[in-house]
Amino acid sequence: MSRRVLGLGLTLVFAIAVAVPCSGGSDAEFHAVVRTIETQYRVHHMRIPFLGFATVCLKVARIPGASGLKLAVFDNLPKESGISDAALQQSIEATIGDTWRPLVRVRSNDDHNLTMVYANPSDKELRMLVVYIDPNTATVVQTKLKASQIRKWIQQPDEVTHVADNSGD
Amino acid sequence: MKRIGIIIALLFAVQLPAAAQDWDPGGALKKLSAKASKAIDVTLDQSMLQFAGAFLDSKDPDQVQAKKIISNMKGIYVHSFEFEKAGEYSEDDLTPLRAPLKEPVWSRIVNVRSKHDGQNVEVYFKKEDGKFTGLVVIATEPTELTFVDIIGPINPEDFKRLGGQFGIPKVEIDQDPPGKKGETK
Repeated sequence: MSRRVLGLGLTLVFAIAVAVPCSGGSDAEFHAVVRTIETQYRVHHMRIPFLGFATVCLKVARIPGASGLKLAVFDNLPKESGISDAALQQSIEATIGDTWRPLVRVRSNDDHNLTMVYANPSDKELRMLVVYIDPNTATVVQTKLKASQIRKWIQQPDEVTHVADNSGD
Repeated sequence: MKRIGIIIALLFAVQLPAAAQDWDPGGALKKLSAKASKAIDVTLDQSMLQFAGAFLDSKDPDQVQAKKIISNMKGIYVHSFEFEKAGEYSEDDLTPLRAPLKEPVWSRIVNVRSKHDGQNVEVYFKKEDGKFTGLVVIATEPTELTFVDIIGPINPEDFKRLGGQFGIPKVEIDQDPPGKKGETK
């Protein structure tokens, strides 16, 4: 059961992240996390591949209340970075500050990947930040969700399930 | 589906580290994490619980109940571990988790049955000044282990209601709340 619950949570986080409108603007914490990864791994994030960007935008209109997707992808991380999961997590949390709450952390020893999900709630919206790292790549995603949308999803959970299902299209 | 809604509400309201009752299981959890093929941590601190509570429907009895339960809670921390094969963790790994859960402050409920076949569940309630102030669950299977730490007022009935949410195992408790004769060990 716990795996199902957590699986649903993570699926939702990623579904929201992928299904959100592509908008401009800047968010200091997102950019700070990107810079942290760039500094730690001595890499630069890639431009979003056109196809990937198009895929993201195609899903946009389905999710009212979600906005402000920010996405940074890092490829070809150095094989011997010497950076531990704990050290990276510490750096990220120091960067984003106390207003971001660690929400879920999943670490796989088999696949050597780490997913960290942070949330920053306010009266009107919930900002979510997802950091995913595996031996070759890293991804940072930030999005905002309006409180009204969260309330609607709670009242109509079928809609969320539908979104989560569609995220794997 | 209502439950899913509540789960979603609460999943939108979380934090992480192993801030436990009045002891720190962090070291023991770290060791388990190193042995596990997958480690999952979910944390809901007080502010996030309150955030989630604001989205629960006051007209829905289930959600009203959930809101009531979480309104005074200080935190829910769930640590779940999956292992490649049986025997990768041992009783020695659990000893430091159980060590502080001693009477008179802590009471273990006997006759707790998991609804999940093959899962052994230990439930400990913390009681101070006649009030329930915390709960720890240790659920084990040959290749899975879940440690749940709930800080704040929660009674056995509330706990049963929370079962199946936040990664908390779903259990049947056959007898009265702890604190009465013969109910704890």
